[in-house]
Formats: sequence, structure tokens, C-alpha cells
Amino acid sequence: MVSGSGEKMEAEPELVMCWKDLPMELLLRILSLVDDRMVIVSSAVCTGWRDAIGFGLTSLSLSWCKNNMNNLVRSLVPKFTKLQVLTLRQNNAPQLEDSAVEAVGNYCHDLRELDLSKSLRLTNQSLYALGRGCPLLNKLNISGCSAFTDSALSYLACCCRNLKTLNLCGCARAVTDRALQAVSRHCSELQSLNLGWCESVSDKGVTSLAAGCPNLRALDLCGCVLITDESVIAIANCCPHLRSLDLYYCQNITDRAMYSLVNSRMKSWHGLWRDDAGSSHGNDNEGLMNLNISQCTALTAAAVQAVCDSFPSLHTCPGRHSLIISGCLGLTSVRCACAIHAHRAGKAYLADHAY
Amino acid sequence: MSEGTKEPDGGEEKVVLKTHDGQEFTVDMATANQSGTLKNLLSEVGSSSNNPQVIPLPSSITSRVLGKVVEYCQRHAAGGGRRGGMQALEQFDEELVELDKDMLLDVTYAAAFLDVPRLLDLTSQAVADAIKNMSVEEVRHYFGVVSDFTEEEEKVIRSECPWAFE
Repeated sequence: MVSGSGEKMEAEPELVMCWKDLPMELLLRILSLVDDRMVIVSSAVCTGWRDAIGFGLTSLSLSWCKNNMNNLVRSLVPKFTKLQVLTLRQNNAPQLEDSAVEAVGNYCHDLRELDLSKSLRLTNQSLYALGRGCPLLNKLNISGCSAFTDSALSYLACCCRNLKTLNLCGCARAVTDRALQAVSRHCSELQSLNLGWCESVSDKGVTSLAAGCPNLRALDLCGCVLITDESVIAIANCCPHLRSLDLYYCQNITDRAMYSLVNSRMKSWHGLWRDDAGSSHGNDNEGLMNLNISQCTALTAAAVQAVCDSFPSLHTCPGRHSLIISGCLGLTSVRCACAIHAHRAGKAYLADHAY
Repeated sequence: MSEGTKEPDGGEEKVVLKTHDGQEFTVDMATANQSGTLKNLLSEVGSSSNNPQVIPLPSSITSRVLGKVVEYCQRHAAGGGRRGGMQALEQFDEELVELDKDMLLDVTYAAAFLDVPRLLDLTSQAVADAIKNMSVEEVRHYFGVVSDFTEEEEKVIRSECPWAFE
């Protein structure tokens, strides 16, 4: 090994350390303060640095990479095998191909979080590789990866049973009722699921999901045009921790769905829910904190007002706006409690109340 | 610098830090306690003004380096309440880490060894700022590190990440 003595101050007998031998934890500490590009540069400085970074680096984002992301991933992941968080979102043109994701599956067995959003060129091979190689995944974003099909998604769900957060927005071919049944069967830990614009999802998929994933906290069904009240009723009945529900443009939804939410709230007030793990969280009895029913044109003001009255965290007032009803001409009279108070007592009360 | 010695009120505890090159730094407990390592050690062995504990330091912490660390610890033991408040303290910190790169390395190492978290933050940030936007060659040159990759490896790296060398 060549020692690092390129341009030391001449005859400084005091010097004992040299940068080449910088202890791993110090190098990683310094690299935690620079950008990911600089981390990669540093890994190319010498074998000591490469090995230290390979051993210690747990989080990397290559989203800044404008071209050649595919080759970069393929060359880096064999060195960075301890990665737990990898962000490969492509903000511009899609670059990633299956070969890169296969490399991730082959080398990064510790991976917990992976963002592949907007990887339009990936095929099922990628999901198979992740299923085989990354069983610890708990957070996966494949939104916009439109080429995946439901058999690959089912396979992934079967392999990655720790999934807690799954973003499938726009994966219209992958997200079928069959795939959701696989998710519900294997991923019982799931807490957050985005099914936005997966237009082939029907009540069958969502009801099975509700039955299999009782820990769901956030569910985005925006643009799932086939679903009806049955889906919402199942979610309301089976998922006591639900905090966020997006039903944008689900135009089959009627008042019945709204009243099922109200009823679930009544049940939780009366302590009918099992007192299971998770209910000890501080704000666990807050109930719904976000509800988007914009463009759900069949809803009436009475039903939505009942929902709003049942969940104190839902607001229509400007600052907080967590009950979104835009585009529903029949709902303009719906008001959250503080808006009504403000109307009665002037704005001072609103400011007081809105901490 | 006298801010670290305070008024010697007879019984104030002292501790002696002895570097490998034989220099001794006598500091008060408030200064020593800025270092997690010394604090732990002294809570075990104790020290007094009549018979101060002598703590030998590893060879990597030279007297020049220890001087910097002690300067930092004395100033911070006095805190932001004196000498112009927090603003002056921040300026002191800024100037303290204006060091040449070899000294910066040694102080970083000493701060890590002695567990002086804020000083370690300062020096780490100074190094991070120095190498920001550098290429591989610039980093090697800056730190005096010679590549020990084989020719083959070096070639592969250059072809994989050509931008890292630009």
C-alpha cells in the first residue's frame, strides 16, 4: 500500500496522523455533511476510504443524477452493500433499467427504503429482483412505474412482508384486485398505501385489503373510479387507526360511505375497538385528520357535515383545510367547528383556537 | 489566556494533561469537563488542587493540537455569558477552525478522542466545507492521499464515474 504523503508540510515532525488513515467514523461523520455526489467522489480516493464508505454508508440518493444513473447504480451498489435507504427517483427523463434494480437486489440485502418513482422503463424483472434480494424492505415507492403487472406485484408482496409504506400511484397494470389480495394476505404491517389512479381496483380488492391490513393509517384511492361505498365501509369498519383517506374523483361514493365513517367513530368512542398494540399512541383517538372527497359529486352536505362533526381534526377553515371538498357544489355549506365559532364570535376566537 | 483559570479560590480542582511529547497543560475541572472522555475518567479517579491527577494522552495528540483543544474548552467552559456573549463565542469558534488541513485533521481526531462534540462538529464542518465540489484528484491532492488502487481498478472507476474526475 502506498502511503499518503503527497504534499505534507515539509518536516513537520509533530504530524502523526495522515488523511488516508482517517478513522472510518470520522470520515463518515464528515461525509454526512457533504452531498451524495461528494460521497461518491470520496469513495474513489483510495481503497481505505472506499472500504470505510462501503462499510458505513447506509443512505444514498442519486436523484440528482441527470444521465447515466443506470450505470452509476450498477457500479456503486456492489461497493455499498450496507445501504438501508436508496433514493433513485428520476426527476427528468427515465434512466433506470432492470439491470440496475437487479444489482440492488443482488447486493443490498439490508435495504429498508427504496424510491424508484418515475422509473418508466422498469419491467417486472425489477420487482422479482427486489423480492428475491431485499426481504427487509419496509418502504417502497414505485409510483409512475406503469409497466409492472399484477403477478410481479403479488410476488413482491409475498416476499417483502415488512412493508409498511407502499406507493403504487399510477401503477395501473400492477394494482388489480388480485394483487391487492396478495398484499392483504402477506403485508399485514402495512400502514400507508397509495393506489392513486389505479383504475382497475374495485371493491373486491379494497375490502380484502381492509381485512388484511388493520394497521392502515393512510389510504389514497384518488381516481379509483370503480370503487363504491362498500370499499369505504370496509375500511371504516376494519381500520381503526385510519388518519388519512383520499377519495378524490371516486364518484360512486354516496352518503352511506360518509355515515360508515361516522359510525366507526362512534364505535371507537365507545371503546368497542380491541385495545391492541398501537392504540397507546398519544393522538390515536384523534380519528381522521385528512379526508379528500373533492369531485365526489353524489355526497350531500348533511352527511359530510356529520363526518366533520365526528372528527374534530377535520377542518374546512383556510389555515388547516384538512377536509377537502372542492368541486362539490352541494357541499359549500359544510363548516368545521372553528369556522362556525369564528362566524359567531369573530376572528379573535379562531386565532385562539387554532394552535 | 486566563479565562479558564478563574479565581483560584484555594480549593479549586485541577487536572494535568500530559502530551506524548512531554508538555503539561494544567486546566481546571470546568475546562476538563468539556471533554466527555476526561469527565468520565475524572469521575472515576478524582483530582484535587494539591495533588492533581496527571492524564497522559496518546501520541496522536501533540502539544500543538492539545493547545487548540484546551483553548476551545476553556473558552466554552466560560460560556457565552462572558466576553461579548454568544456572538463572540461563535466568532471564536469560527476563527479556531481556520487551520491548515493537517492541523485540522489532528484537531478533528483529538476532538473525537477526547469526546468534545461541538468542537468535532466544527472541525468536521470545516473539512466538509473545504472539500465541497472537489474532484477525486483534488481531494487526493488536498489531503495528500496517493491512490492505492491497482491500475485496473483505477481505470474502472474512471470509466464508471468520469464526472467524479472532472
